[in-house]
Amino acid sequence: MTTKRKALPKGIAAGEFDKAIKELKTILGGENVVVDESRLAPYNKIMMPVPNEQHAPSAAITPDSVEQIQSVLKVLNKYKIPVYPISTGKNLGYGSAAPVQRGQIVMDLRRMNKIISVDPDLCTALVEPGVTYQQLYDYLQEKKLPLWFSCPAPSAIAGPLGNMVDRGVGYTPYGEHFLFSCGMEVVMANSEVLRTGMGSMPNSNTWQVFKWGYGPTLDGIFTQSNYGIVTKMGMWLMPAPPDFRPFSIQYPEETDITKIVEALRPLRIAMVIPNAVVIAHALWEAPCTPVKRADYYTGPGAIPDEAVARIRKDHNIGAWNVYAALYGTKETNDANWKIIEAVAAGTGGKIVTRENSTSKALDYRFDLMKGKPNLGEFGLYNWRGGGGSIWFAPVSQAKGSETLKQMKMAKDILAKYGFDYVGEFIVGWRDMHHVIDLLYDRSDEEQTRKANACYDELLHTFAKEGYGMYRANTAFAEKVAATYGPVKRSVEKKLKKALDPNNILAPGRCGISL
Amino acid sequence: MDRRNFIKSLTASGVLGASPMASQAAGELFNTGAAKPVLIVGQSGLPQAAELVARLGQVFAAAGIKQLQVMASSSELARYGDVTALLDRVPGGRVIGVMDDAAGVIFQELAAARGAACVLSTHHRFGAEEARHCCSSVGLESSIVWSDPLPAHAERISRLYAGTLGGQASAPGPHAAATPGAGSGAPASLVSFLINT
Repeated sequence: MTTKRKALPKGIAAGEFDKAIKELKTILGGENVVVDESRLAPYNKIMMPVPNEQHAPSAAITPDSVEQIQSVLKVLNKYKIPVYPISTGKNLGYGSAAPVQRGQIVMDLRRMNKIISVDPDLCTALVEPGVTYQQLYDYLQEKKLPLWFSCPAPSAIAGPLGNMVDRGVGYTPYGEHFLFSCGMEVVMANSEVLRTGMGSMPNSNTWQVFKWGYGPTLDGIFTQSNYGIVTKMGMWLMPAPPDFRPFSIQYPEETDITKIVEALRPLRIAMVIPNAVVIAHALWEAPCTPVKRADYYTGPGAIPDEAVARIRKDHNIGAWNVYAALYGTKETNDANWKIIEAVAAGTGGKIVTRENSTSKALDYRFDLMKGKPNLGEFGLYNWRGGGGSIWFAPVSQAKGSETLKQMKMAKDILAKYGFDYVGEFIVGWRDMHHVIDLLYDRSDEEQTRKANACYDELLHTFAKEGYGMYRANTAFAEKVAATYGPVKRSVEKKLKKALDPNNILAPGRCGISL
Repeated sequence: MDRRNFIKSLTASGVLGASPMASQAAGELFNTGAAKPVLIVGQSGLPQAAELVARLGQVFAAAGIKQLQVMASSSELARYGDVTALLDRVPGGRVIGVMDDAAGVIFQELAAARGAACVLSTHHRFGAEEARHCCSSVGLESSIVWSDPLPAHAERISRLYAGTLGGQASAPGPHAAATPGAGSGAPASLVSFLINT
């Protein structure tokens, strides 16, 4: 007798699915194979402006070892059932824990949550997928190790492995997370276990210190892909600097963004400012201050500039708010601080430090710049009410001229659908991530439909201008992948065929499938 | 009775929580850890949340559902340690949260990270005269939306949760005294949810 299920993997009959589930229970134990609808609720989509059923999982499994994953993959290959691995599944605006396609089994790796090693001399760590930033922070505090890591804004509940694999970014000098990873362990679809870089060599003790090994460097193909399940990751930790000097610079006009970027880029490239500089628009700052939209505007459409100006005046918020920090000794920071003061004075900015501000936004930003996890940025969900959010994140050159152009394009499209421009530019070494939080009421069907259409138009309009996404919400994976052209996709497909011929690892993730 | 019909029966005017069938279905669907008190976590500083928590308390008491109430500040509900401490109070039990959207996402995601399932979630939007509710539940393909006039909105939603928990429905007491929409007068938004921990 077969069980009636609401979601099944594509092309899999209920009877076959039940047989597979039975075998998975033998491997993992019944309590680690979830098919009951109510217990599957944590794996339903949250921040995707599409109907629930499009991303409904058929089951969830929680293995606790590499050996269990190997055995699971043998069963899934036998039945050709797709699995969607997640580490903590908390990259909310980029998708959450829900599978990319309906019916995929979610492989939740949260029980694999060991901090395997931390080397305080070499400043490295080796972690499993279920480790959260909060857990790592608590570990370092408990051991009194003067080491920092970089984390993204939803840090307390997210984890370093998942964020690195998704090529996420943070706010310390180690903020480009993939760049500061060193060595992966990957379970391949055929159950082989690959260790990248020096990890392939028996008895090597350099897995976490030398990235490249010999021959092609493979780590990159396991990020934003579905070629294997990453079960361990090495990461570099930053020695806590003797002097940490975070600051904000507020600018009064939206058009100031051009000169801000032109002034800060040289400092960033020369590493006078060693961390990613965030340039947050007033409407990113306001909800985290906190300010409520409805206290200023309740009419139709996007919030008018006049209301934004009132918010800024009432709450002492800049049109743009720069966040960065100096990391060094008192002597080096004293010297570099003079450069920051000169840049602020020369560009018409006002420097804000913790001593002269009580803003909650300032607090959470300053904590993030020293890798202290917090949940301050969740305040964005209160801006509009209804708590819906999709992150639209095109990349651009770190040039002032790009910023105004991108902001105007985004603002016009958002306004067409009645949404506000809530954006920030994150200045990397030579690029910028322009992150726009498309905030909508996810309890409102019409707004949800509009959010979907708006994202679609943003995506295609930006792509026409040559601006590609650095990350994308799961619901738009296929469309974003398509903007990168056919040759890249063809190569990705060939790799998929070679490494996962049964197409069982998250088919559709980042648009890769057979 | 399937879940959709169950929730519909609860949200339909006049039959909310009064159907023995609904209570029976609720018991089958959600009745885990029924002997333990339900923890109701409300966000302080939000008049609409205070009103709903108060009404939940009254309706649960009338329905014979044991409960504990905690009001937590927005700062507490944004801190990892404080939220996990709240969840630690009810292992294997039920939590109802009444808070703003940001706190609601944090609370539900931290619960999910521990394997706890949110089985019922409702967004509430408060206008000048009425509250709009949008309810999602396990087993519902799509959300159910309805509106109530402000003086009565907390009544129906409280009965929905009581019915979902499988309590014995009985005549509730008088309405809570809190004034809906008090504060800035601007439209407000809340989320309430039921989690099996």
